[in-house]
Amino acid sequence: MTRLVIGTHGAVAQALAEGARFASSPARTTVREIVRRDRPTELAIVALPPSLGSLGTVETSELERLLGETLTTAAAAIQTLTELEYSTRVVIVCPAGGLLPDHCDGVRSTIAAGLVMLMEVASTLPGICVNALLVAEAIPPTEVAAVANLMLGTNAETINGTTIRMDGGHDAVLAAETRTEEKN
Amino acid sequence: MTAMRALVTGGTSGIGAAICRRLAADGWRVAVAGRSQTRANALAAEIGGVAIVGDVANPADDTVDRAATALGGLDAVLLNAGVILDADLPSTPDADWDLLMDVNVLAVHRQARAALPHLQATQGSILITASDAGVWGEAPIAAYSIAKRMTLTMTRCLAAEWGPAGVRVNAICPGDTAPGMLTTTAGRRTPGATDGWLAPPLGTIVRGEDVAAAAAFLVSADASRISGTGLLIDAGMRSSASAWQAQSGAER
Repeated sequence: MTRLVIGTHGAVAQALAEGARFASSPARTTVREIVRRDRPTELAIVALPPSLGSLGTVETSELERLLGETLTTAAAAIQTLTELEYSTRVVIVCPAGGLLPDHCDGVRSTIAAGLVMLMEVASTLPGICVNALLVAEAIPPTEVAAVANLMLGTNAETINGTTIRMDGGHDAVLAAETRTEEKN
Repeated sequence: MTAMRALVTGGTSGIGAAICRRLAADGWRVAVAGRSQTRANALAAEIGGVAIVGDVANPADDTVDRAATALGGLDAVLLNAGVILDADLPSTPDADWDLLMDVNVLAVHRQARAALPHLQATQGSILITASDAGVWGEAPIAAYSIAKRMTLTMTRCLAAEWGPAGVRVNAICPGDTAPGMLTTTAGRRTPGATDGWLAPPLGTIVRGEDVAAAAAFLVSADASRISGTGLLIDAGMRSSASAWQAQSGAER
């Protein structure tokens, strides 16, 4: 097994990249070169940049920059994987706002939504099993990495095109946080 | 009674033109925006509106401000301009990926921000044209699906963010629509033809007027308590994984 980890630097990426190559938010052409050279059988795409806040307050150029560093790179990596003649497993790790948007974290939610759809359309490609792991801020990186490892390690080809949300049930229902506080 | 005022980007053809005609019929004054001066002028003359020529993909584009000046304010901004690429992910060239993100995501963000002060002044609304492909993706139009999912999330985030300012933000999610961008996509099929399209459960292809009716509702006072929604206009195509088989698998 050859693992490649690309994306934003941080504790999750470090945990996943132990003993593997890590490329920090490489440009589109660079990530293609790396994939062709390393020929990974496992690819972890980590897209957990610092929050840029809400959409209304951020300049479009900042949204563009983040899109380029995360979504565009991820798409290029998966495109290149399709050139390889063997099966590859991919996990995309991104903010939980990709499923249930958080307007206070609207920039990352928007990017994450794109990453989730990237996962969905890529899961139809032959030879690639791709899934997404959506994580809340408070989740310990080691727990995130453990679940990502499970998603990369399974041989079940039916586990493809799915999402796991790691938020401890925080967003399972509206105001779940309040209920937890009451219980405590 | 003073007429309401709307800007429609991508307003010179397809769904955008249908929206312009519907809003004008409902009594709105409409700024028809698009890249083609000829088409913008013709439609503006037809409906008694004003033509705004610009390219939303240009970061310096000031379509919103020019429309507000021409109409004396804005009550609705319909961010309808978009591009599609008929390609799965591996077949998507970098330049096309960038164009789709520029027009379908970044331009929407830029123009929505430009519209906010005008709409805050009138307690108006934004309507973003997303797609059914953003609700449930389509691998043969991968980059388009990705971009439209992002615009749906943008819609919800901006609705929450700008609601306290009195500005509503909604989206429409058209299915295959004629006339629409699918009928004019280069190289796809005979321009204007819908032969080969899968029939949705309701049996008939969505028309531009159908989408325009939904758009007109969402920017109207009747929708004054609706914000953050993405309304499907797809004749039932996203209602089931096998909805395309509902009409006995027949193709239209």
